[in-house]
Amino acid sequence: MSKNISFKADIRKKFLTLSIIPLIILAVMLITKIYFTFEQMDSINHKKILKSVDYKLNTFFADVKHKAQFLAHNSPKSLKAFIRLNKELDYIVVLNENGIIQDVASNKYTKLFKGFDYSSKDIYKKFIKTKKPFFSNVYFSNITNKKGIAYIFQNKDKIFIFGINFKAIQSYVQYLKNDTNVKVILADERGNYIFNDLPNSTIDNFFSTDIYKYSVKNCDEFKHIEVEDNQLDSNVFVMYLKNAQTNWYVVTVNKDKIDDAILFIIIWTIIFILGMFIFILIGANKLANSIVKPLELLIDKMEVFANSNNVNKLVLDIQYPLFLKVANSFNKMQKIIIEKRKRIREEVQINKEKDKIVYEQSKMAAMGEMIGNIAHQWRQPLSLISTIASGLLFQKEMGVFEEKRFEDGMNKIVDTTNFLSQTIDDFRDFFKKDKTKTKFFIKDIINKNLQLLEASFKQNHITVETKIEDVELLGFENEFIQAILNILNNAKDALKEQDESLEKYIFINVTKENNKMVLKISDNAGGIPEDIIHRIYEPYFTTKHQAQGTGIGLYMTREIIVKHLDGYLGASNVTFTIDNKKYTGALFTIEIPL
Amino acid sequence: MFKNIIFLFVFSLVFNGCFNSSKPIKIAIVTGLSGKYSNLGSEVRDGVVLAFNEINYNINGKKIELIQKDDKQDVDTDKQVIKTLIKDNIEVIIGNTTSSMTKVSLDILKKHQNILLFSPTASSSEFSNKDDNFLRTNGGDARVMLDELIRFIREQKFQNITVIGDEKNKTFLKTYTKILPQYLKAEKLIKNNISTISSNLSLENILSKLKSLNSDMILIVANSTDSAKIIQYLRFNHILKPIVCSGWAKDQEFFEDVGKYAKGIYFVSSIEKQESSHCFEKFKTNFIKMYHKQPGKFNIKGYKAAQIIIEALKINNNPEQLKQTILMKKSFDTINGKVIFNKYGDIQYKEYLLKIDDNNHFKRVYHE
Repeated sequence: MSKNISFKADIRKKFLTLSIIPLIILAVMLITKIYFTFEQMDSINHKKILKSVDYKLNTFFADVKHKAQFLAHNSPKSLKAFIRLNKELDYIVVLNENGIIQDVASNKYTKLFKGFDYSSKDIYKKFIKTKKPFFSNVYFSNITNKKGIAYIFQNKDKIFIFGINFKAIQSYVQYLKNDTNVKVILADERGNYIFNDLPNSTIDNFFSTDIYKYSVKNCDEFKHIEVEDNQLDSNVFVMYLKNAQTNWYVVTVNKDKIDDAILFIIIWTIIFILGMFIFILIGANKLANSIVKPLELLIDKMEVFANSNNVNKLVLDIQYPLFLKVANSFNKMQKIIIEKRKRIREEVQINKEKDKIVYEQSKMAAMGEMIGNIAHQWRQPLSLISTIASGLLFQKEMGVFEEKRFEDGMNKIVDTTNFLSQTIDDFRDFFKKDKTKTKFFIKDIINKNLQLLEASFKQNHITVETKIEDVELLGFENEFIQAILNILNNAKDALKEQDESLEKYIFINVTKENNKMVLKISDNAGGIPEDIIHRIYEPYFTTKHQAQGTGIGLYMTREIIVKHLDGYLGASNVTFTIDNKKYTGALFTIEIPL
Repeated sequence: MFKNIIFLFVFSLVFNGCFNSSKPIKIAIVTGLSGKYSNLGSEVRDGVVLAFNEINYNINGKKIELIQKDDKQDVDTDKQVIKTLIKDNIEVIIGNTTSSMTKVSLDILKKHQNILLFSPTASSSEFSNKDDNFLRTNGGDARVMLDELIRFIREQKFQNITVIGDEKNKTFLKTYTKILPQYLKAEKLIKNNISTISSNLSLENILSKLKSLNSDMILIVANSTDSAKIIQYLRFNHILKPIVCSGWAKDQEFFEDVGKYAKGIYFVSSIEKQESSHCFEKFKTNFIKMYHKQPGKFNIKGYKAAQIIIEALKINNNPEQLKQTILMKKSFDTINGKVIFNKYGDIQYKEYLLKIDDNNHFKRVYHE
């Protein structure tokens, strides 16, 4: 189930990733594009305002100059009247070449008089050096008692100073102030403000502002620069130009509204992406469900089918042909599996029957072997009984019958018949079917087998060498005896076929290794041909004459060792040396877990 | 429960600590920035701004918020400004620049002892020896301030003295129109009161009044522009009597406005020693870098006041305890020497009689 969840999550994750990442990339690209477009627009706006202010300033200067020319050439009777007509003028001071006031005119009472010494004033000192007209930097006027600028020029032997009020210039700039957020700064070449549209400026000199220090000072004119302004506590975009006539700085500043706009866009983009994320998440979930749910249903049905063998028809309430096909195939497969299983069960039943028959056959074969062995066992005692009986009969006929001899003979006959009876008991026990598992010792099993086969071995001159480490086993004793008997019989049969001159050996070796009983039975009958060694456990496979073998023995031995006792049975060929003679034979290894 | 209380206590301490450390110290500069009084006001302001600019508006991690206000040398405007600052929880006010405006501010601040008023220039003796929320680095005992002037009057045996003064700064003017005559009378140097003419009258009026008074000495107590104009007008009209100006007029503009008539004018003023110390040179360099002009007397005074405030806030950054911190430390090294405060927050202050020589330099009249 957990795999299903991760599979579902994986589908969801992949779907989300594949949907969201392109969306994010697209959003970043879009924002970048918007940012640069905004910046470009802002730059254009700055440039436009700068040029307009510069143009207006020059127009203003031209106007003042024009008025100065008019004044110089027309010498109006009243300077005061001239000032009244020209709103941008606060005062006019007329000096002689020594800087002594010749005339003063102002709208207000000036406290300046003809004869006052004006020669210490900076504006006069600067003019007298070059005698070229100029617009002054900002200075504190003792006529208006406020800061202002002035235009100074000479006509013949008179030097004129036009006191120009800030308001006139400011109104020009303000006239240009549009509805954009761009603020305008106008500062003279020493950084004194003529106009400063920025709010809350604590510094009275433009050169001390971050705007000047971090942009204007080091950059070319008309360059759109972003500055971190600590005084304004925000980032600002700055552009400037220097008025060619006065070297005044015209600076445009606007708070980084682009960042605000971008932030706005970013926030909305994030909201959009989040919305999309939720939407895609729901979609991914639905998609994952539509894929995984039929699979889960299929798996559930398979589990039910696997555990209960009941046919469970898979019905899907979805219309995807792919899953309907899967459902049909599954239903078909269930049917086939049920049929096959039924057939297998029947086959198994048949095989079981066959096995039963084989087992019976092997019993019968073993019985045959036993009867052969009984015959061998009985031959000598019967011969003895016969001899004793014949001897006693002959003694009676000959009249040499003796009571004592009769008695001895009868006793011998009784002993011998007891032996015969015991032999029958032994064989009868062997053919008894084991009902329950019992504990038994391997040594007893080997001895019982050797006892059963003793006569046969003797007849065939087979020497049995045993080396047994006694081990207790749990199982069906008679089955195990039969299993060992089959191997020993095979060895005996193989040795029987060998040349008479050959010393015939069977070696039985029992050891305990690694919590296992290991029993090795080998002979020197030449071994099993390599081409058939892999087939020796097949039922009905035999190399013996039809009368001698059924091909069931080793099959049954393996069934008993492997299936009944959970052990191992292996066959190989071995070569060994006895009395400097080299022999080859088969080696059967039985391993039984303890 | 006990654990929770301890946790809440610790949390509140930590939170309070964090909160306090992030709260900026609000300092206001209230000066005259309009009209003819703007010379003094803006010079003081520039000095103060430079000092805070040098420390990047930050003392021991605490941000300094500097608020500038213009009192316009007008009582109502100043009252309004101070009330606004009180409302805005301002803890330190640097200002005012004239004694009369300082008096107006102090009257309001009497009820707000947690706000410190620190004037770099108000020199009226009226503020001396008072245990209030006012400190200054200018002015002090009137007798000490006027000592050399009295000596001059004594030596020159002047009997009729006329003060041409700006009554808009009447607190400062009082030193010359009320206190000076008291000393002179006490020392039996003059018989009559000192005559007073308003500097705000027309120059023609001033001249005609002055002529009628037949003064031995003219004392001008006005700003540099007004003083210069009066001097030009009087000299142009052949009034050649000795003219003594108050320290108020001793700024950069005076020489520009007074022209060739500067020579021989006396000043009663402190001397802002422009020592060639590393500290002063650094200040001068920074000042020129920032304002593109040489620093003047009032620039130095403004910077010096700010220097003391900064130094004290470095010791204890609680602005409510600024006065105690300053008085506890007492002695401060400033750009032009040591400033030592007494228990009332006054400093040892002396004014000298100076005379402008042929090269427009101030020279002390008395050298001992």
